[in-house]
Amino acid sequence: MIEASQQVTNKPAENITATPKGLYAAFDTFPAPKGAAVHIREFAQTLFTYTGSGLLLVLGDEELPSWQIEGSMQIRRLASGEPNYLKRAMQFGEFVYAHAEMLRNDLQIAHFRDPWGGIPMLDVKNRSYKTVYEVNSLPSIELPARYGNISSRTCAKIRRLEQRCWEEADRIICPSQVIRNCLISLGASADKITVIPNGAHIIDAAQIDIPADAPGQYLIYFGAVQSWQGLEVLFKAMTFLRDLSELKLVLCVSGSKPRLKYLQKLAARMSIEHQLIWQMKVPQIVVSNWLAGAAISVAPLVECARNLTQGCCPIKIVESMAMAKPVIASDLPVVRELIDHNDTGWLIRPDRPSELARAIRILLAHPDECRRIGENAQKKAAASLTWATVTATLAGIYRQLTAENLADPFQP
Amino acid sequence: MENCNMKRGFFFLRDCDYPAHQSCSSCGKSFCNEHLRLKPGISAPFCLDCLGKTMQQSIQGKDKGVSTRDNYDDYYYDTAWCYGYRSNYYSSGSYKPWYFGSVNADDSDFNDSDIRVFDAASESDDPDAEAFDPEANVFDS
Ligand SMILES: [Zn+2]
Ligand SMILES: [Zn+2]
Repeated sequence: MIEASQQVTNKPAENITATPKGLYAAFDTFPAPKGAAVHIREFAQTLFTYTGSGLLLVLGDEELPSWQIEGSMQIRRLASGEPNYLKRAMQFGEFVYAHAEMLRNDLQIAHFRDPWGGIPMLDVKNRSYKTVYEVNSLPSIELPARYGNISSRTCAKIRRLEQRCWEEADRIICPSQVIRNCLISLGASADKITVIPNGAHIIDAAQIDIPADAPGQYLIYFGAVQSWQGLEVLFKAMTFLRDLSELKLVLCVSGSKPRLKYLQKLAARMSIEHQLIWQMKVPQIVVSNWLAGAAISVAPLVECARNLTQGCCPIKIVESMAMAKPVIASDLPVVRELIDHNDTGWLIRPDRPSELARAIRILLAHPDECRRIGENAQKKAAASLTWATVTATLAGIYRQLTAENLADPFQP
Repeated sequence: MENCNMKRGFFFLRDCDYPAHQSCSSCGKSFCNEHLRLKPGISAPFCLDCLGKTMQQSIQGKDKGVSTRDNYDDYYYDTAWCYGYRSNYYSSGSYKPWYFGSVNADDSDFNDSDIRVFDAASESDDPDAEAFDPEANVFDS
C-alpha cells in the first residue's frame, strides 16, 4: 500500500491527512484471516483508488490500532468489548453515523456491507454522497442459525432494516445471481443490482512445490466445515472408493473444535481414516501447495435453504479453477454460475454420495479429460474471475454514481 | 532509541520500523513523528491509537450526559484530528435510531427482549467457524 514518507522533524505531524472522499464500512474485524477480509481489502482499495482518499470503518480488538493513517487512507476501528452481538452492532452504527455525518459534504461515495453500517449512512441528512450496498449475506438469514432463540418478530425487525438498505441504497452489488434473485424476490429493484463474483489470483500449479509427503494421487477438499459444505456426503463417497487403495483425500480444513472433532469421529465410524490426510488450520501457502498436487478438487455443497436462496460464491471453487484444477461440485444455481458441466468443471446432483464417487472414478480414469477441464476452468477464471476484472466492474459503478451526482447536484 | 511501536499496513499489519522520536503522553510507548499528533490545548504528543480511543470514549461520555462539547470544539475543527467528532455531532444528539431500551416505543425498534437473544452465551455455533486461523488464509495470496 501507499506509504506516507517519513517526516524527519522534531514535531509530531499536523494537518497531513487528506479529507476522505470515499467511506467504506464493514461490521467485521479487519484485517482477519477470512474471506470477508479479502472482500473488504479489494473493494475498499478500489473505492479509495477511485475517490483518491478514503476512510475505512471496521471493528478492532486489543491488538489492532484504533486509528491508522496509510497515505491518503485512514482506518478507524471500533474496539468494542460488548459481548452482545446486537448491542455491538448498534454501537457500530453510532460510530459510522458520527463519521458519515461529519463528512457528509466531503464524501462522494459511501459503501456498506450490512445494515449496521448502512442504516446510519442512509440516515445522514443533507448528505452529498451516493451509497452502495454490498450484499454477501443477509443477517436475517444468517443470524437465526447462530442464535437459535431469535424470535420471528426480532427477525422481522432485522428484515425491515435490510429492506431499507436495498430500497434506499443507490446501487446494490452481490456475489451471485442467486442472491440477486433473492433480493428481487424480496422486492429490490432489479436494475440497480450488479453481480460481482468473487475473484482469485491465477496461479500456475507447475510453479508450486507440492508437499514432500504428498501421496501419489489425491483429492482435495479445502475450506470451512459447516454442515452445508457437504463433508458428510464426501465421506460417504470415500467408502465407495476403498478399492482405489492409492487414492487419498486431503482435507485442508478449519472450523470450530466440536465440529472438527465430530468429523474425525465420523470418519472413524465410516472406517475411512486411512484414506484421509487431515491438514487442520494450516497456513494459506500450505493449502496452495496441497492444491497444486491434487488430481481433483471437491466442493460437495448441500442442497439446503442457505445454499439455494441466499447463495454464496464458493471461493474454493474459484481458487481451484484459478489453479487449473478440475472441480467436482454439486449442481446448484450458485455453482452453475461458475461451472459448465464437462467444460469448466464437473457437476453432480447434490447429496448423492454414490454419484460423487462415480464422478471421481470417471475423472481419475481419464487424466486427459481432467487436464482439459482444468485448463478450461483456468481460462474462464483468467477471463472473468480475477480480482482485477471484478474490481474494474465495481469501479464502473462508482463512475456511474459520481456522474449522476454531477448531473443532479441537489440529489442526495 | 527504539523503533516506533505503531503497526502499519493495510492488510498485513507490521511494525513501523521508523525510529521513535517521542513517547505518547497517554500510553507512554514511543512512536515516530508520523504516528504522533499534538493534542490541542495540551500540546503534548499522543499516539494515533490513544487519540482514536479517546474519541470513541467521548461518544460514550456523551451518552452519560457528560458535556464535552466545548472542550472538543478546538480539536474537532483541527484537521490534525482527522475528522474526529465535531461539535455538530455532539449537538445533534446521539444517534440511536433502533433502540428504545425496555420501553417498546415503536414496533420496529429493538427492545430488550430482542437484544437478549444475542448474548454471547446463547450463540450456538462458533462465530468464526468460517474463519481461518491467522496466517491460514486460503483466500489471500
Ligand atoms: Zn498512546
Ligand atoms: Zn511509526
